[in-house]
Amino acid sequence: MPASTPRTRLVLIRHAESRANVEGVLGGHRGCTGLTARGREQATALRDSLLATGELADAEMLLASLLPRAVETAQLIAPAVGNGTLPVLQRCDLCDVHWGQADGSPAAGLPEVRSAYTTVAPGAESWLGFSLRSRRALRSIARAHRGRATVVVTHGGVIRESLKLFGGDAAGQGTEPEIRYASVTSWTSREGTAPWRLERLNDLLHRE
Amino acid sequence: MSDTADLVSVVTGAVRRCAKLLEPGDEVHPDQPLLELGLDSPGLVELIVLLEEELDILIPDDQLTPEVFESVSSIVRALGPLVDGDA
Repeated sequence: MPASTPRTRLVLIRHAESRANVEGVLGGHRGCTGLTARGREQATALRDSLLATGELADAEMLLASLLPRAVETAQLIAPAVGNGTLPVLQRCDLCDVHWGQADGSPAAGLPEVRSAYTTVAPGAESWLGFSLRSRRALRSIARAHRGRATVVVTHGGVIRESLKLFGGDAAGQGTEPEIRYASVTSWTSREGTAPWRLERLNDLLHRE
Repeated sequence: MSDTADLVSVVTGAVRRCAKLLEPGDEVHPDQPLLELGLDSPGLVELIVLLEEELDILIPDDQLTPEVFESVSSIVRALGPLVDGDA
């Protein structure tokens, strides 16, 4: 009997509550100033739950976006990932929308986006650009880490894109769930390609 | 892939999978606007991801324009050099 192919597992974790979220500003490379005290508590609680279950002990890689709220969250949960000493590797293609000149501005009052190609400010990313960039990042991570477990600390928009990329029509049609702070969404695949199985969605583990 | 007919076939097949208003057996004219076929924004992202997968290319940001994704013909014109490795 041939040896079974190891599963590819992609565990996507949304960052915990951030100052930019609470203050209602566009938290890009300039506007993100990290987690709130509550956010740090959320990430710490998640770490404790993950340590208790040991479910990420097999992870071989811990990735995060460049934004401080994701990096801080990753650093706080790192003791529960792999052997507990994995470095947080940062990738810009896991970032939230790049806001260009609007980065750091109030989120309220943004101009209406008229098409997938339109941006809210000079230098900003269009909805199409963000959506594609997120899916390309997830696809390349899944391929590069085939047969292994990888933890990715990222943003709600990127996690929603995973539903469309890995979930196919059923998961992608009309579903735009609010991804909760410090929640876990987990995908597995036999080959590192479709079909993917959604193991957890928006799961808080540590609360409720 | 150097044959334009092959590329038209791949692009048409991908459009068929992503455009909401197309029924099996419906004809797709290469110059027909994709909007008329029901290709909305989510469908557009799916189409691009699918084309990148099937053609093993990365479509550069400066090609992500309404003009390029107007019809099968315009997509074929833009992607031809990428597929042939001329870009």
